[in-house]
Amino acid sequence: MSGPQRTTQGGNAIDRSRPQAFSFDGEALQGYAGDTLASALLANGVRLVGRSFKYHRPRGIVSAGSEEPNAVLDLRHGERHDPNARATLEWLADGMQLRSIHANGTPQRDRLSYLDRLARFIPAAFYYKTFMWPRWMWYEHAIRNLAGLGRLDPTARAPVVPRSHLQTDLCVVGAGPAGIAAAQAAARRGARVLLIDARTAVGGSLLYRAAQIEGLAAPQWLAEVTRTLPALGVDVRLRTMALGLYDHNRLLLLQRCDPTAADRVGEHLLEVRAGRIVLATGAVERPLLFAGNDRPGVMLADAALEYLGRYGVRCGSRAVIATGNDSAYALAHALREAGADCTVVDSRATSAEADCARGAGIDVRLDTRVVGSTGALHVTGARLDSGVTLEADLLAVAGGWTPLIHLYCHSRGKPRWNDHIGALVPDREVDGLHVVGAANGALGLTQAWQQGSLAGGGSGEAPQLTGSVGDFWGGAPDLTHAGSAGRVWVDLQNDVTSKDVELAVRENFAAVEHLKRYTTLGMATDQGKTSNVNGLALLAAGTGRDIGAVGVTTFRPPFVPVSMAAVAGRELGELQSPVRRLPAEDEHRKERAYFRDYGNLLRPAWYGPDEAVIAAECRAARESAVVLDASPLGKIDVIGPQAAALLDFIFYTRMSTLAPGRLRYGLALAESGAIWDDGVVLRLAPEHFVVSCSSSHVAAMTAHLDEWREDHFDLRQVFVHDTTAHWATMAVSGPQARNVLAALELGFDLDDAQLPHMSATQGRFMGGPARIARVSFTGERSYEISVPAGLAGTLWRRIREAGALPLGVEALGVLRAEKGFIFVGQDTDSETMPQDIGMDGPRLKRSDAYVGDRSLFMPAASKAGRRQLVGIAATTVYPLPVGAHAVTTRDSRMRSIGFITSSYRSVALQRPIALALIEDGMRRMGDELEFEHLGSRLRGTVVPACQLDPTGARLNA
Amino acid sequence: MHDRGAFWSAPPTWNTAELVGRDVRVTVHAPRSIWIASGDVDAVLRACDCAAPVGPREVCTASRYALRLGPDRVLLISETYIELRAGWQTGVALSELHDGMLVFEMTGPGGRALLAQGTEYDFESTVARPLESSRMLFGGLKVAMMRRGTGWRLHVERLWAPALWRWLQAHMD
Repeated sequence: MSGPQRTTQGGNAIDRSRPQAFSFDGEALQGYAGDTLASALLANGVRLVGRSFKYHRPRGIVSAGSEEPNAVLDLRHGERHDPNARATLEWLADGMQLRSIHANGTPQRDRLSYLDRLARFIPAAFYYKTFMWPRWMWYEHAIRNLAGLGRLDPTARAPVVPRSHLQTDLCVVGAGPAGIAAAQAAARRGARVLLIDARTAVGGSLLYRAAQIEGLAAPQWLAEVTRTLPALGVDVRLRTMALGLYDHNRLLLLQRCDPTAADRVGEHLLEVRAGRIVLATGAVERPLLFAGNDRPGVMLADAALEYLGRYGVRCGSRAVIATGNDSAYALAHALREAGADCTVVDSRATSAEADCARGAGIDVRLDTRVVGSTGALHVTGARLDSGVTLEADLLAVAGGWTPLIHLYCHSRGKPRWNDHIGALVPDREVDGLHVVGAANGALGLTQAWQQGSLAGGGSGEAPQLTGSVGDFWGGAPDLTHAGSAGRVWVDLQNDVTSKDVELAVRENFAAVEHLKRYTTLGMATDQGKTSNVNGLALLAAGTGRDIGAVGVTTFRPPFVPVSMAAVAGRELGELQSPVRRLPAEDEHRKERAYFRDYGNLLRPAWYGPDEAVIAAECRAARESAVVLDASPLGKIDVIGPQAAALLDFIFYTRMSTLAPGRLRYGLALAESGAIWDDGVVLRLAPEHFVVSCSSSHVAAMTAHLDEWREDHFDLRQVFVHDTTAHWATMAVSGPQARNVLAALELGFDLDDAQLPHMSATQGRFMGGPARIARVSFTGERSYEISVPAGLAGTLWRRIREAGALPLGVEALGVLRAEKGFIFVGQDTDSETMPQDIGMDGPRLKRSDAYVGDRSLFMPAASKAGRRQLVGIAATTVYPLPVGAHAVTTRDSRMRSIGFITSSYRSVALQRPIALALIEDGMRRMGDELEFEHLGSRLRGTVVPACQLDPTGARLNA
Repeated sequence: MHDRGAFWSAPPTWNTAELVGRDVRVTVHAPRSIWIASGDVDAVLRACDCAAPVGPREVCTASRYALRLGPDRVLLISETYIELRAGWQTGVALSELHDGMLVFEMTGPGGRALLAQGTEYDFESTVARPLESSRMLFGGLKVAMMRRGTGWRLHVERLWAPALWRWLQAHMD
């Protein structure tokens, strides 16, 4: 029988007693527990798994690990749908439905396969040069439809991927010989050790390559190690892959479950903080460059060996093994033992392994190269440079090895080219990171073990090891036939050929990063693990440089693709970006509040079914009494003998002159002199102030105060405590506010002489303390009552029972705009200074230092044309749009002179009102301005920002 | 914009709230007194008959304890009322926070795994860190953490408490 098939015995990864039924493109197939999707497909004789990205060429399985460029499948299993499942990294389970992707029709009969015949017209970067007229966008949709990988099913729900943290003294990535040595050495020294590997067993290449260790054959030795590692305290996590290595030794791992297990839990994302990290990630084999090297049945020799040893899958019955090193001879022996005919085509003139292979009945042809393959949907033969064509259903290639140093590069390690082994290896050391074994270019098992042991803190002494191959690495890529007739594929996933690289060089995209962008070499889900070095070699040859001088592209996380669901974890919906919640939220819900998020706070926007109630809330505030839940307003204690000095330094207005029991409005400036926040400061006692800043600015203001405290003041003389959460604040406002307060019986004198505007007093509520402050953000008589947060609901109910109507944040916006009170950040921008909103007094009077003072005297702060806050009386029926620009027109050219910052329909004034930042706004009082908004022109007149009760009579009404 | 009240689930009733998962249980503990003290905190702790402040790894079983927030700052927590006056007391700044924080008590053998989902803090480390703050980012929120017997206490600002509760609920599933 031709093609791949399951052997009758062998395969240390599979459990032949547990068959697993699955389907591929609708055909019912069977594999075993422990199979990967790739091994199960190969075991069923499947060679063609899909079509290529660009030219729709037939493609088969090439590798057995993360480097696989072709075998990306659509996977459905229960509720799970993965449109780009990587067949070499997913394990088979009963009931899985697999489909090939990117074939229009079936992989055998792809209606778009004609694109391959048009290849000469659509080379690398064709889309940068063609389809430009009249517009690329006209073609983009169609071209994107022809390209790409799997397609998302919008109805499918991604499973929730839990995420957790892990801390360890040493994390070893890769459980091959070097990784085992590191883990054992560190654990014996008492360290907490985490050992991870992507496979289902410890051992790395020892799982399928013959070796003798301490007198034991590799399987027996590994069985012993598997038993003793946990006994040493090593936390061994299999099916686990490192996705990225970040600052301070933080590793991101993805642990997969056994999908055949009864208690399968799906994927698990682990964030590991490790004292030290050992990377024993091994190396992946490189393909050889010859015409038709992408045909299904052309496979990496090491992968074919792994499929045979791990899964009992013989990938061909008539194999040609093309190699330039000794590592591929193990496959020849294994295939021969499995009953396959085998020919080794070795490009070297001599090989230490050749005689041994011939002795085993293997046909070895030295000093010979494969120059092409034959076949249509799968390989049928190998053409040799001697002119002979060998019949073959498997063309295994061994073009040298590429150390997996991606994680090393994530931590800013730089690779260097090692001519001796023909590979990129780590150059300088990175703190806390050790790269060992094949990943570090180790020559043989003994050296790999020694490196691992030393990295784990051991002596570096290796046990008795045999099984290393002589010339394992094989040197630099062999480019002898890279330019031969026919297309030579460099990057299988992106359909990049050697001619594409030559084209890039001809067009002077000769820098490695340019080559990558121009040709897409090394992009996509395999990140060029099999193609990068061959591409570099071609670039070096094309530009007449050494490979080492060409440089490499930057490897970035993730090492293998990871689903967005895994990145998001459980932090979805309410957990994605949580908001602060009012202590009286329950009461607001009972009042049918309509909630909105305001600067990470959930607050009632209005009370009722729709926005129409805002007008009624505004009317109630001007005519009777309303209550607003103002609990999130800052309550930051500033305490100590230097408290007054700190606040003088922070605020534009002096606070040290406040008498105890009094309040003062203040602006906090940035060092640029721009208004950063505003608020009211209450002096409770000579050495105790409370800063009531904007609700959304509490954390920032606390940090701001603390930073300047640490910078300018005696750390034992002033302290900052955020007590916002302790106090719930209800603001009662309106002509009837005093009556409401009287009904609450808070135990203080309501007389205006005792409690004038901008003063505060203490009272009692429900046996607890209460702070009452007369301060207004509506322009009406107002009282802010603060009680311990546990009493918030009770206080709200009592105020409502006393006759105050609820007021939402939207109505508050209207009321304060009528008075010209600003929302910092909405009515100011990053250039607005105090004098721009009419607060020039402190700037002119203060001589002491405060934050932002010097900037207020820079020439730019006084120049003409500054945008100043003004009111706009609109002549329209509807409010002017926020953001509409005031414009002047000269020589039919429009110029913006400012913009609307807030705009509402005023119930009290019976017309639209607005606040705006306008150039020289104060000097334009009475001017009619033209506003431009999305093509329409509107008009409004410049008026003072305060458009209602400019004398403040209502504050004491 | 839609009514966001429908998006955010209503906060629980704190005095009866409870979460029970596999091997882990979370209840709400209500201390009588919480103060934040800065400055000469040793003097305050002596005056209140409270032991030295603890960090996130030290086990505490006392009914009155202090959590270390910084070199000169503690959160003083007690089952009984502590008679102090807010403001400046020679060398010490005091603010009351009795209603400003909620305390979640986590018990059960599954607590460690639940914590591992919320913080990268290494509870098993044996490296001495005598000035370590008990406050850390947990589930993306600021939480002051303390070991209580075999369990943990999570101290969180009241305004963020519903978010932390929801986080615990989701991660116990």
